[in-house]
Amino acid sequence: MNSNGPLQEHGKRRVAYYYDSNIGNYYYGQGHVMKPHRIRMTHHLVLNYGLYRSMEIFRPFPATFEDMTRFHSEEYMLFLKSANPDNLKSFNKQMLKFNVGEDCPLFDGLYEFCQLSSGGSLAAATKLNKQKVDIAINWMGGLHHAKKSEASGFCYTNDIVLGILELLKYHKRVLYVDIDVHHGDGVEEAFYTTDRVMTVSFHKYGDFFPGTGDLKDIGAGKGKLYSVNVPLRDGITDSSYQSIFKPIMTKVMERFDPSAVVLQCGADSLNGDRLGPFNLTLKGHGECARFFRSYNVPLMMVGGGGYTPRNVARCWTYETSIAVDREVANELPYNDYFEYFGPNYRLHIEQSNANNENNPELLTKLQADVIANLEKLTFVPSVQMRPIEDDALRSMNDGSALADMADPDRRLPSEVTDQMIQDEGDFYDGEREGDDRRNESDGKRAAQMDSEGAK
Amino acid sequence: MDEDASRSSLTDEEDYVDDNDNDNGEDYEATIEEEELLDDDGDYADELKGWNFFAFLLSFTCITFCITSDLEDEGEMTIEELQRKYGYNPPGNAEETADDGNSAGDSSSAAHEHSILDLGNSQSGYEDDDDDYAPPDPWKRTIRVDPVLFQADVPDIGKSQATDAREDDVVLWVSDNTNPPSDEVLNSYLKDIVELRKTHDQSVPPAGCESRDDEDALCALYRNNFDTEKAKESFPFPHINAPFRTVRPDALGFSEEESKIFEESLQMYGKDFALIGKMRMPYRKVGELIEYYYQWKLTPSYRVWREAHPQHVPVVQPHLSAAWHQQAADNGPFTEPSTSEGPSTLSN
Repeated sequence: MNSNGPLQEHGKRRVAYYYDSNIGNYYYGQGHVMKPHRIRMTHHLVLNYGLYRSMEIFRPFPATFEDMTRFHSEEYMLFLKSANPDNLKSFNKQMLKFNVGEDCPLFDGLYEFCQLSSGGSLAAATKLNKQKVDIAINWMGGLHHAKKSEASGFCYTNDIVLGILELLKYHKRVLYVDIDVHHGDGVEEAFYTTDRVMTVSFHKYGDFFPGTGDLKDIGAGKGKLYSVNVPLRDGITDSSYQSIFKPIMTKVMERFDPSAVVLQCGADSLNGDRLGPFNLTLKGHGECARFFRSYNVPLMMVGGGGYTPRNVARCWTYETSIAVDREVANELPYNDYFEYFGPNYRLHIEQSNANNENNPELLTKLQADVIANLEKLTFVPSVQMRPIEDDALRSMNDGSALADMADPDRRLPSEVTDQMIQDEGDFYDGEREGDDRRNESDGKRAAQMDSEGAK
Repeated sequence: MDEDASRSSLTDEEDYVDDNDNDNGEDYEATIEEEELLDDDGDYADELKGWNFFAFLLSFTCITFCITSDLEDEGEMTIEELQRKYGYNPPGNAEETADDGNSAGDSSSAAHEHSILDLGNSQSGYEDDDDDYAPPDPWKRTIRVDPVLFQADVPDIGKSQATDAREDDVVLWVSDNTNPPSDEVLNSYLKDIVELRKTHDQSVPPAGCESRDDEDALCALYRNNFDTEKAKESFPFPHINAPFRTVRPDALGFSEEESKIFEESLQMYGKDFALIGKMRMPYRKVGELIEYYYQWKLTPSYRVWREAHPQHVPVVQPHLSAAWHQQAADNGPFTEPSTSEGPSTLSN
């Protein structure tokens, strides 16, 4: 169903964008490299480039405690909810246990921050599930290191895992792709043993946080072969990144055939990042977004790392423009934070002449190894191949199975009726009013047909 | 605002760092590369490694303490130095090692720093054990498997449809799907709104970018069914995506007096905005201070402040501020800062 390959590049996509202006007003602490302010900078560029009007804009409802405990443990969430800079003394033990305090500091408003970030990704996933849009963007999300009961790498709650769990209610197979310079360990761990989520991460590996993401880590149990890791070295450039990204992802799309994709767009893989040693420019980074846009598959784009705020804002603005398929000028438009973009005030960044330690032979070998693993996949795995029962019915993505099995005396959930398409030949009124034909047809006859139809 | 002064590249000098371990109270927004340009021919790669190493250490000090002694072998920095720098106290018992039991980072998995990508043989890391002793890779971690502790519960398809009833997002703008207004229509509407704002003494975008997307104006247009006249009648518009959680809706701008207190507080406490709020500006929300901080950085007063505090180190070090928060909470405003004392409330 999605295996018909890349579509024409210039197809129109409906794009939803999630943003809450509170997000820029949280602060990790003195000297901390993670700055939520970068998301506000992104938003201002999006506004001033006139990209805003090309999307559907939503302020997401913050994730609730219950939303977040769909992945995270209650104990951990209770801790995040109740601890604050003023009472942390009474949480000494938990802080150690949940790894909060050092690079994941307990800052003022932390829980709210988590609610906003996670709320955005949950809302984005829900919107994609309802097939209201083709692409949903949440730059507040992408916090891929957070574990079930543990903060890690500046991430506290894992909005990506929550979003994917939401997608899995409607999608047989969800693909997660991570182009952050750091390994997407939190997401990989959460789905390490399932074959319904494939995680693919391209990252710097070797004496580098978080220390996972070895090529030989491929998943466990049923999830074996469904975790894919592409460990890279310092200094990778646009062209060498794409030389390995495209073949691998093309193979993944072919073998795994996902019905939804989540792309983590961590911008610390750009040249000049304060933490990341890669040498990508917006063009090479954005090419990954373009790649998935070209497939006819629901796409969720989330943020992630990125520690040179103005380059993060540049990158995510550019990727927003890719999603809506609008050209943007290299001259940055004036905006509230214009001065942050000096000295050149341009959108695009240059690559540096840093040494690329990923030589072609190494990449070729890496690619061959990854593809060899992908070849081992049973062709297009899925729930359909599991023991029959009603799983097979449930796996039908369009909800028709639900409609068929439903109790005729009860109203169908709107998620199902929303997707019902009336046959062209039906002349009677459907459950939904407002069909124009209604006015043309004989009222009596319609009523008669309707009652038949309901049987 | 004095545009020339503020434009002259906020970033290329403000974030100058003379070495990578002293935080002079700045937000480092310049890139490392740019910083390097200030020194001639600095060793870029080494610098980056230093940072990575630093980030890595920060990340793992908590759970890897039991093995950190190994780091001495490879780092230029000693543990003692690092502890001094980052105010880290070893936890007495590393509870976390239990969770981390199957970690490849433990000393049994001999590892080869420079052969990590030599992975044709997926077992190589383990089979080369008989080489000369190589220090274990303390940075390595493995994914942990335990459905209760670590993995997510994957929902069945089609099930639990009832539970996904989330409260609706607030719709701020959706173009008319059947008959979307053209860019010309939108631009002229937005231009009119700029005029309206001017007549009502509201702030407007600077000349040349009048047609930037105005969230409130577009929302009004959406809510009035794309009828530009009706939308204009609804002026003044509510601020539809205001940061109402972090900034009180009626919060006033900073007066000169407040700005002065703010600058003094920055010098004293660094950017611990919660502490600044508590100590000096209790009537402000922390979010208001943060929002102001990022605006203030764009003003000439920021440049003046920077010049007056070129190598500013806040009196209260970041790792101490936790202790200070506690003190503040316990005793109210404190009297004498004692920065020399080893902290902290974090470890025991």
